[in-house]
Amino acid sequence: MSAVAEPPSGHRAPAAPRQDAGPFDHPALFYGDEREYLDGTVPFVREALAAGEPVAVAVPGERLTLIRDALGADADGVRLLDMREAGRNPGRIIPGVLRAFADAHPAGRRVRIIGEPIWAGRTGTEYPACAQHEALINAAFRGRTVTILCPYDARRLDERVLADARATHPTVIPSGSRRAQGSAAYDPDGVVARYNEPLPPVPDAPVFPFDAGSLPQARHLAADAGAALGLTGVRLEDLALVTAELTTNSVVHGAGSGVLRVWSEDGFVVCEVRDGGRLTDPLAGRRPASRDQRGGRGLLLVNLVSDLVRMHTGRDGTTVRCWFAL
Amino acid sequence: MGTQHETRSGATRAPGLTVSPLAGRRGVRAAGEVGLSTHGTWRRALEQAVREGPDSEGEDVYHLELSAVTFVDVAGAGVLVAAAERLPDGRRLVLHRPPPALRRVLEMFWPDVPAIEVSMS
Repeated sequence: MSAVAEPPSGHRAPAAPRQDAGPFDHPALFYGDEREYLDGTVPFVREALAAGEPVAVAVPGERLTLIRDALGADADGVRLLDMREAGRNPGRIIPGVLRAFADAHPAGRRVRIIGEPIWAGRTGTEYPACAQHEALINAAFRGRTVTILCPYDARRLDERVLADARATHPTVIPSGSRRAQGSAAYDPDGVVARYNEPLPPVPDAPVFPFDAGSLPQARHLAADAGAALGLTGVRLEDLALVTAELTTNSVVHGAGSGVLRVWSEDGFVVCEVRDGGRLTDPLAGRRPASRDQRGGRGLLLVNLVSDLVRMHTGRDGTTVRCWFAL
Repeated sequence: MGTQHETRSGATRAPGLTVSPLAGRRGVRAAGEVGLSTHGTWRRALEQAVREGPDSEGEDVYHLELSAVTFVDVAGAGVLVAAAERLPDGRRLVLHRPPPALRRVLEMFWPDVPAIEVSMS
């Protein structure tokens, strides 16, 4: 899809739909300092409040405080979330933050969200999932009357991250500007494909091949390993649930069998399931389940309870790797 | 490459799911695990709950004693919810001591199903 330049407009995230782009609007806001941050976000919130539009702000905690203080009493009408918590796993943000808020309001009225999923402290392990998340927002909200404004710290983030933001957002508001410009680099599918990076097997991690007959054993093995590595309580239950869902998916959708590995690295327990299937739906696990929907919640659960999920899928099979903080 | 993992002693059994009638009140006791290989048994047990009308004293509760169920996966929780939602108005399922995984999944995806009551006794 070619991005169309914004007509001149007095504010940053115009409610008027772009030609060919439908009602969904997804600008990246590049900011250089605190003042540019507030200039780019606070009027966005106030315009929503003035128009009676539901508005949420999901940004890292310290910047949430900045916006809340700048809004004063108006902050009471805004849903405020610390993205470091709510969006720790980037794969959780679409179902658990963005659509959770947007879907709670009647269709037709514009919903506005400020979402800052990428900050300077994101690790190299997390980043590919962050970039894919930003790209997939476009598919997840196509046709919806929603504006999602994504601030990027232009001073502290790598140029590579800012280049990716130009590819994952149809429009960009340059640092110090008040106007969204169409992004010629817009190519969300290209970003999803580029960050579909192989996850080579970790040496020395115990290997457990499983099939339909050994699903319970696979789950027990993951739970035993997780406990031995230090997971407890609900986090250990989550590891068991995630293992059950991933290994069952391998048996049902992924050639009938797979290989489980569990190990620890950098303060996390990591659980990985590898199989011969191919994941063809990039939004799998990112759509909230409708209440009446019978199945299809397995990958959603994996995204909701894990601290990070990375996936690689291709001709040779699919690998899903999940991190649980110790 | 890593080494092939030895399965621990508990894993040599094949955990199934057994369902038996409760003595003294309407309902069943389940024991084992609810997963891919036992969804059929679990579904049939719950269909029984949906089919049974009120007992002779008009009791509108069906008890599921789950203290010996060690795990229920997401699909198994979905089967439970689907059964509960097919109950006639006013009837409900009472889950006795469900495993943590089931409570976690119900809270996450079906936090307010009126026909499901969780009892820790």
